[in-house]
Amino acid sequence: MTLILAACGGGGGGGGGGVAQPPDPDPAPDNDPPPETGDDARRVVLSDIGTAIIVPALEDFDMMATGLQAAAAAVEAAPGDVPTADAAKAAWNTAMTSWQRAEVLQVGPAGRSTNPDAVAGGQDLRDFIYSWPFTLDTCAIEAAAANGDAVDGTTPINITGLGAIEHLLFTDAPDPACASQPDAAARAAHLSRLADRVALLATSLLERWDPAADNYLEQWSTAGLESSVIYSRPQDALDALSIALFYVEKQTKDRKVALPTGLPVTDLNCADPIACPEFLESRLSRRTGQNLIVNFEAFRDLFTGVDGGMGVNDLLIGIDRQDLADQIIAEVDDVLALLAQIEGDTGFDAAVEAITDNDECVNAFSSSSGLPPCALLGVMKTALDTFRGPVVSALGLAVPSAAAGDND
Amino acid sequence: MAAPRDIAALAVFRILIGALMCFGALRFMRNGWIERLYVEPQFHFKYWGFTWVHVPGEVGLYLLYCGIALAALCVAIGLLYRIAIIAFWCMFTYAELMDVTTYLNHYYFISVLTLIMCFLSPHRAWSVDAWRRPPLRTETLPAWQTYWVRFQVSLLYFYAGWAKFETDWLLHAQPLNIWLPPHSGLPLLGPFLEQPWVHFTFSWFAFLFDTLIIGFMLWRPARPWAFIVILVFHYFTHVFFNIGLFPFIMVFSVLIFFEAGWPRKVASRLRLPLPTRSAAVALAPAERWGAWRGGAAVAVVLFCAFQFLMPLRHWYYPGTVLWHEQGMRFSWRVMLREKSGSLEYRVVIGRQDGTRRTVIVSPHRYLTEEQYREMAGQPDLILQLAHHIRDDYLAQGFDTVEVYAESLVSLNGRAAHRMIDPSVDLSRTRLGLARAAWITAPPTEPPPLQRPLRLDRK
Repeated sequence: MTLILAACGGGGGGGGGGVAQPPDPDPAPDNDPPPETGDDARRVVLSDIGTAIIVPALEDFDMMATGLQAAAAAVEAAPGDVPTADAAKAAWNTAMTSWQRAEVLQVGPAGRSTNPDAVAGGQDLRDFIYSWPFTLDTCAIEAAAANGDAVDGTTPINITGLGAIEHLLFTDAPDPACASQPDAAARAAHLSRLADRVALLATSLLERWDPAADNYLEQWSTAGLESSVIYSRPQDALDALSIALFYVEKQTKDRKVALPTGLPVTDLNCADPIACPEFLESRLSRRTGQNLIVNFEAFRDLFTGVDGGMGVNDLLIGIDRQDLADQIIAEVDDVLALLAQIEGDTGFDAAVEAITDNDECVNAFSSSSGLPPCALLGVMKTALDTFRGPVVSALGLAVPSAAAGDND
Repeated sequence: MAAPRDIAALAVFRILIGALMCFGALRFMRNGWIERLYVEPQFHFKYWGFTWVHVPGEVGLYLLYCGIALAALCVAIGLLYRIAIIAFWCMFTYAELMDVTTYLNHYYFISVLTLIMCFLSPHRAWSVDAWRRPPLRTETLPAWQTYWVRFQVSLLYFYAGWAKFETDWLLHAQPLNIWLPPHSGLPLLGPFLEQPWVHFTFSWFAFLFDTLIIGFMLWRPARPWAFIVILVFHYFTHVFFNIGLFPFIMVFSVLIFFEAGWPRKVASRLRLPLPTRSAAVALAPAERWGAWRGGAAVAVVLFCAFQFLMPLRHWYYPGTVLWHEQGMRFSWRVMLREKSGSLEYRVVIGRQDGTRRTVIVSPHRYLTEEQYREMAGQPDLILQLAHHIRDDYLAQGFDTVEVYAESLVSLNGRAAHRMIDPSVDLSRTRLGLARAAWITAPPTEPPPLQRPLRLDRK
């Protein structure tokens, strides 16, 4: 009604040139769009996350995987050439940094298609690209290199992907214990085949989301509408995002940090009775700390949104829970600050290898200060307890394994 | 109590509950819950007094659930009813006792209900037994059989209602204020589910519904309308919450409040070939009460008294039951709290040579995510796992083991608080019915009220 009156007032001046118009009591609104509410608001957040975070992450990885493919081809052309190998290592590092962001974004086609961790729309692409923490069969990788085996959809995930590439790039020769002992040329050729496969999968994953191709982005962004057959409610897509975010607790915290520090268990099968560096994620390339940073940066971005877009925190603020929004970002920032400090010092891998006192580690974990990797676990726990508890509760989000029974 | 009543209502009750339980057991197997809830976990939480209940292997579990389904089917069709219902109760109750983290009020209700059915005779009509053994047939049963079932159903609603008579539910609309907004995409009603006034309305309606509905079901003029309200109420609980068979169980159970001959009337209106009750049977004499029946009546009264008193035991424990959970189970506190927590244990292990070492133990080492989520907010289960950790380390050859819990719990959207006193060595703390001083005081601040979701563009 206000708009109609305003339109009448503004457009009726043709014959009344001398009549002064009273000031408009209800000036036209500025250009800010009206607030979004309810499921429309949830779709706005999903759309922004899909458009500004998920798709760009996959685009970036596609580009990095193509770079890695080219670098691996150069190694194949000049096996044993150190500068070429170093360039390939740098390309792998860049690709890994890119992929670690996507690790936190395992919704839709990247996710698993089968139980117990099946994801809506899952097509298992993540495991083919990077199968960690599934243990690599390094001797089988050497055997595949020696035999010149093709790398395709039938190749087991424990001898392919970014982990297998890291093994071939960051070791100079096969383990003497392996039955197969391929030469440098055979290893370089296999490296190239592995990189080709990862590049293919990267493009395939991107195309699944690409609006110009399979357009999973529409499934995601329009959850609850007819155009989305995967998600019957926006909450279903948010639940999928929530379960994906648990990667940072279950993998980043509990596997990448807790296991190597030796804190959570006493019966780990590792050589060192105090810490367990064997469990470091990227021990060969010594970039575990960088992986942790990227995981937490992605986690943070999903909360804050990027490039002016909305994030999970906007959902919290939208229901008057600014307190929680501020709390989790402050706690994640504490994690990132400590990680930056560790990486700026010796690096996370070296810091883990330097752990020699279990009690000191426990104390550092409990007080979140002291021995850096152990303190880091304590700081991570604080942040992720906030996520697992109050944040998940406030937004009614799902946690992993939520479908395993009834309530009452 | 001994007056003859038409058997029809109880016979239909038997058929419906049997069929539903058969479906439920098949659904349990089909959904993979046997693997998820019983096979995958390496540790199972025991009920106090039932530590002897063990989880069989996968084959045994499938045999158990197949047995439950078969027994339930036999109950439904009235084949070897007495054996079938006793077998069902034994197997079903055993299955429910296998792990505390799978406790659900409605499964407990089925256990109690089918225990009662072991002593009733709803198989004497419209059953294979009655068809094969004519002397068994009857058109009436004594009224107490109906009253006993009614009592149990009434008790559930009554206590479910009174459990809502507390500040979080009535004054802060929690946890509905958290649970309902995610359903705002539902047609018609959906947009309202964001609104706090709707959460308050639903909270108060649920409180009044649970508390008063049985009264209306007992009042003949109001009964049809009350039943319609029950249908609507349970339909919405089915839509809003992942509540499984509970709505169906309750709808089938309240049918027992209608006149005993209601199935014949319905069949007549629908022109179904169901025999109407004969006039002669309508005049059947009441059963005589002998010494044996007198003793049985006393047992029934004691059973009912126990059921009535059991939900009240939380008054013995100081603080709110939502926090300390002492007296939570078996008291019909249905869908009452949103609780999430995180937990880890500090375990101090030592040897006789005096060396001591502290390790951090995550519950995930022993539990599935499902178990962890359930137990993290339940102090007695935290204690139980602490004992298991103690035993585990002792078995590893350590001479002394102390176990301390670091537990943070968020109740109904509040900030997380410590739930367990971190200075108490849980390895020495006994699990029992005594007041648990090792559980901290509940949070004193009120839960937050979350407003309807509204996003202003950046």
